[in-house]
Amino acid sequence: MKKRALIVDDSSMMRQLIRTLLEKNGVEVVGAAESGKRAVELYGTLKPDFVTLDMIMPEQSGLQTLKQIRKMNPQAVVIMISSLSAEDSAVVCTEAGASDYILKPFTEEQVLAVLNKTVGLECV
Amino acid sequence: MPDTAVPLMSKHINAFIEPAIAVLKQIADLDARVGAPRQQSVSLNSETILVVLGVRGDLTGTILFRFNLALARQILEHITGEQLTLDILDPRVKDALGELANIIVGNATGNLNRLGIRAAITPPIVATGTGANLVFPNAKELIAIPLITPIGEFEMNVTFAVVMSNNQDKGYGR
Repeated sequence: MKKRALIVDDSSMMRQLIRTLLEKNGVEVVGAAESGKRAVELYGTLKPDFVTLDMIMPEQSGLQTLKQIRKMNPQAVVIMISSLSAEDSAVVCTEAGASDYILKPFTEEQVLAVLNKTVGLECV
Repeated sequence: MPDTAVPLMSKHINAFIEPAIAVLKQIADLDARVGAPRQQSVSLNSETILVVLGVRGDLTGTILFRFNLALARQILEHITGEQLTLDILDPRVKDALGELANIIVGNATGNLNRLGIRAAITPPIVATGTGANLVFPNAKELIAIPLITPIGEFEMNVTFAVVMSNNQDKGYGR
């Protein structure tokens, strides 16, 4: 069965890039959100297998969104995809329950390695 | 104890230059080199596309990227691999340049961290239009760093002060 993903990023270019990468590798993208607030709404209705979540977004940060999603579902698999390269950014996200942290710009191989580890995705 | 401002140094500038070159290469497959940084007056006139990001923490200020539309369009074509016909108001231009700048400055936070500077960034603001006059009232200097690529040149402008706080555990950059 295909893994179902929710993509969260305020950049439409980045949402499209991640969507293309995931679909190419057999993931069903069930939703995409441009804000943290919308992401929380969609998570509740779509119940995806995993979320890719941007860190720096207007109004509500990725970290706040992560905490809200994990409050809804403590088992939620949330993979942060962020441009913040400071080590403490990754540490804070991990402490808040993120499954992994991918630094932008990323390669396809990096994303697939994380998906393999976190949701058992096998490359198609 | 009060915070202490220290002079801006080349290592602080380099923290932004290195990711700018690396990100342009990885995202747009553009080999960029840096022209000689120069000081500008604090005000500048905007004729093109501006992307503005704030930095706060031990280093506080503004990073401003200035593109002309022709170059912006070509950068997008390099990123997407498609020939594009875009005008300056096309949301794809703002979106892509905002994200590009966001990644460059976000990556710079790691370099700053290694210098012992903790900093967080704000989401990018993208502005277009002619005749705008940007004023940074608290800035002592605005340094323009030309980034020269095979398809043209754009500028990264930085105006900030490093404020080494006596309280080192503020949680900035998180």
